[in-house]
Amino acid sequence: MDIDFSTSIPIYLQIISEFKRQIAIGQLKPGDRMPSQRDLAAELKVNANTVQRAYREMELLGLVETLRGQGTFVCRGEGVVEETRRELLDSLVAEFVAAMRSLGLGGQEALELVRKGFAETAAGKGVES
Amino acid sequence: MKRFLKLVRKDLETGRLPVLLLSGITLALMVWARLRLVNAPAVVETAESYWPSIYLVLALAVPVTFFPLWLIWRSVQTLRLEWRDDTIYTLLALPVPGWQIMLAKLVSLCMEYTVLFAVATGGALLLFGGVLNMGTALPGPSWVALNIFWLYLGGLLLFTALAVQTQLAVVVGKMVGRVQGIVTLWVWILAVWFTSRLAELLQPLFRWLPVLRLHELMRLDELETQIILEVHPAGQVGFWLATIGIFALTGVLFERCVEVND
Amino acid sequence: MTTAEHALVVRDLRKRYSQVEALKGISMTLPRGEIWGLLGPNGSGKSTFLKCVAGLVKPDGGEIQILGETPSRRTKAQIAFVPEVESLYRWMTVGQVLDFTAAFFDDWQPETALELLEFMHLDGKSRVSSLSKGMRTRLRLILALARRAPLVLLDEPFSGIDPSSRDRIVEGIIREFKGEEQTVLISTHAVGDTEQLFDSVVFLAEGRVALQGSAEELRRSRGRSINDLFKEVFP
Repeated sequence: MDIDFSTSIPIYLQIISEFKRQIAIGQLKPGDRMPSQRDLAAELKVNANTVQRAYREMELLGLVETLRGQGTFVCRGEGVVEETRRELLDSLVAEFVAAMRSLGLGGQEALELVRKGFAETAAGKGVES
Repeated sequence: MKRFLKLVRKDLETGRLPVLLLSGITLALMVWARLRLVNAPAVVETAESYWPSIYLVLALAVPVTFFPLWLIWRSVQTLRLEWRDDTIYTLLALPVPGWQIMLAKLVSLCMEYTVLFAVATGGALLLFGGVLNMGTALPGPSWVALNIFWLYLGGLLLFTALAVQTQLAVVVGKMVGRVQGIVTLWVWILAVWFTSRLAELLQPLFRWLPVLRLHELMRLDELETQIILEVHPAGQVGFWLATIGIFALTGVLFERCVEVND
Repeated sequence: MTTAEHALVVRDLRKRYSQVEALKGISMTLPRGEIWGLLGPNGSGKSTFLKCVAGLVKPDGGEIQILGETPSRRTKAQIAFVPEVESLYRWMTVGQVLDFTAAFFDDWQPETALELLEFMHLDGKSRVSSLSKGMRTRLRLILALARRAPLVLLDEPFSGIDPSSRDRIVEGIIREFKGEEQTVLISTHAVGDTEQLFDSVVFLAEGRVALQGSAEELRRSRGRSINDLFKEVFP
């Protein structure tokens, strides 16, 4: 796990986003054990209280659950992965739309660009492989 | 007790090398003087026990003149070095009373004194014992041993008192930002003056204390008239009360008022 | 263990050296179980402040309460202070340094000390005088981290040392932080990549508190990292 902390966003939020990302792309699966708070703090070189806060928030969000004496696990609930994925997509889309708007692009134009982008990367991939 | 021994051990370490060096120089000088004595023709023959006393003087020059100065200087150094080397940060952060830190330094200084005294007297006895005995009627080895013991004890007590006064002077010197040297010197003079003044003042009150006649303890039959060693406790009471007071004051000042360098 | 609510309460602390007024009335309250950053450029009074709390310098005014007690011999037993200067006896071996410290502090933990020795890549037999500056700083940090001291004061533990020593020290502090029963106050003049260590920060400028607050709150409300904020307050 690697996070660049030079930004202005609170660190515990960055830790949560990183875990959300890992859950969304399937790197962390429901039922997987989360790293212990102490180990994660040492690995990220982050204050243990910050990690604790991130875990507490994730618990409140229903992303993870702590079983007494066993550790913290990604929630087994069906919807967790789907929801996290959706949330991540929503935020990325929102970010994209806002950026396009600021450049004066409408929905149709933006979509056109997106299609083109996908086609190009697909072609690029094809050439490479 | 474990803590105190750690402190003593630490203070001994700083004096170890210089003491070894000084002992070596002393012994070397004595051996050299003794060899010169052997070669001097007059030693064994003359009944008047004439021999070039210059060599003996030389041999004892280091212990007699240099050791006391050295020990006073050491009692300044053991404290000053803590500041110079920044180890005062370690020392002042320890949860121990100030007097223990001071006492540890005194104990280690007394041990240095003991080593130097043993080297000086041991060397003198081994190398010059034969020469000294010639022609004089000393009462015997036990008399010599007792004399050395009283000399050792007297020196130890006097030196301890001086070291206590020196400690106060250095500690007060460290409490002022500027002119530390002058303050140290003045406090030292005041401490010496105070000690002797209190000894004088209290002497009349303790006249009733018996005078200790050391020559009686030694059973000096032949030399009784020539050598009279007496200790007058009446004068000592004030002296040691002042010394203990100064020591306690130093401990309190060290714990409460002394700071690290800024 | 005392039950005082705060690890450290300081009110209007003042200290004047012969020429300079080092502390011009500093107040702060450190709850238990947090790591605090004491940030400011050289000469801002950070060292003097820590020395006052540790009892190595006597303040001219104000009040200090360590776990509810004023500084004394008793509070010295509760504090692990790592000064900025080389405070160790140079003739000692690393092992002797640990033994010496262990003799004076009842909260010393021999196993932790050995673990830390390994973690910090130090050999018990080497002499202090033969160690590099980074190694000596690592050793001095062990003396604080191997204790269960309720209040740990670290003066500039990251300055003037190689990056790998610095990483070890940051990781060591995080690993050995004892949570609820401990409070750590770390001074530094270069925030850099150590800002994620701190729960809260205090900015000192010329002997006064310029800014203080929870690190996460400051990031959120000011929209800047602590490092950027530091550069802004001390250009």
